[in-house]
Amino acid sequence: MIRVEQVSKRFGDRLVLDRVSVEIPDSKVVVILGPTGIGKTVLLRIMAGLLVPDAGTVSYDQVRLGRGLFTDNREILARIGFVFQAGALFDSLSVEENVALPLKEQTRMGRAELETRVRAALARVGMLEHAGLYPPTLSGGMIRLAAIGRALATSPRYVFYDEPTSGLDPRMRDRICKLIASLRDQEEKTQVVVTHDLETVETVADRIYMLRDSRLTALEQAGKEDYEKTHS
Amino acid sequence: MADSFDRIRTMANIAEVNVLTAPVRYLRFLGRSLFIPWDIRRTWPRLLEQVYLHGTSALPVVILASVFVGLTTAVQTSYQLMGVVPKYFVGMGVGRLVLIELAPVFTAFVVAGRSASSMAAELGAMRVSNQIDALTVMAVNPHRFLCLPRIVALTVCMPLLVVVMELVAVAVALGISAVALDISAYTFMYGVTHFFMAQDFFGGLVKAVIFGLLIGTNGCYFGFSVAGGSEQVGRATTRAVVASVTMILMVNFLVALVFFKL
Repeated sequence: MIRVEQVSKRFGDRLVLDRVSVEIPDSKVVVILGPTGIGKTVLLRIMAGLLVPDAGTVSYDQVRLGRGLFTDNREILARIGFVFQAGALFDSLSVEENVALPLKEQTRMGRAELETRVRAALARVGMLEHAGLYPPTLSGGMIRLAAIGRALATSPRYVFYDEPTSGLDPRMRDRICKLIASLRDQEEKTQVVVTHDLETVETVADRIYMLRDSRLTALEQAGKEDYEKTHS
Repeated sequence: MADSFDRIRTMANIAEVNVLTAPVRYLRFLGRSLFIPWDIRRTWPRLLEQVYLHGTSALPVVILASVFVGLTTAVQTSYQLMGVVPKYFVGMGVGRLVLIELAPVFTAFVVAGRSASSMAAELGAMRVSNQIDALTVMAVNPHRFLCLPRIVALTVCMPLLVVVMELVAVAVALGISAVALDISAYTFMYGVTHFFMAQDFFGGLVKAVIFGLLIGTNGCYFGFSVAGGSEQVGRATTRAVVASVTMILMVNFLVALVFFKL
């Protein structure tokens, strides 16, 4: 379980997160909803240890995420897969090499095993036939799929998605939503999806939270009116 | 009291760089990049790649610069000394100038313009497109993955590039002296070898090692510091070169004090 407790974050005069608390149960998909620029990505980055909160804590199964050096969080980070909005693939590496990178760096597996794991991750996201292509030649949807493949390569327990479906055509969006749902149903991954796309929410969410006025509210508490306001 | 602190803080912010905190952050960055488990098996291939990019590939431009350093030094030394002292003093002047000052400093300028800028731009672009964050969440230490090979490669390559410049510059100076300045090769080399001091050569190499370390660190530090968009990448590139050139001149003076003070 991921527990976020009383997390606050300020950028200059702007308070982005104000004493935000949330619990992410195991094997569930939790969606954090809210309009663009409200601070959803900031919350996700704090949860992944990429940003240090001004106050509050994030813990994974009672183990608190350190506030300082990379080495403090290495064990927790090894259990996280993170899918960035624009993919953040390495341009100079092929899709296959991108997916292999975390395995090469985190593990000491042999070439044959590494190849098997990479091909399995690529097959899982339907990118096996594009394994040799380089990111600049891929479409937005394919970049997103390759990024998910890379995030899954190390078999993480937690997967975070930053706007996984924004700017994609409906077919690709469905494909990614089905993938997220199947990761929950078949592999029991704990997933956090940050989005402003309500169709994604409806397809994959087990729990929905809304970020509004720097505070996070469960959707039941926020009320249907708020949901529709966001939708409009 | 609070006003005084604010005033000090404002005064310390020169050209958007806080001169009080920047050195601490810089040293902390260097420590994070070098004083970590190296993991040789994984670092080695990336180190070789960086040696090729910033060492081997820099050879043509370093050799080109060496040719002009040699030509100019020979002509200027001859202009200053001819008719005043014996001709072999031209060889001595060229040899010692190149070994002590010109080869280390000019090589460092060439490498700073070439490598510090490219490192800052590359890492800055990686920062902007979240690739550095992606490494972090993959539990890959970005300092070990990106900075360590670059800094070590430049620290290792710089002395070698300096030796290349020394050899080429002296050879070219010898050639121009024999052809155009009426100084025989024997006389020129007599001046070079007779007044050669190992201290000059090793002092130049010590400078080269420090310059390489600084250029590599600057390229990585300013690339990693990028926050924002592509405009910031451009600024980081400029800062990396300006900081490198400034530090090269400062260190050059300090090493001169330590090694060559009478």
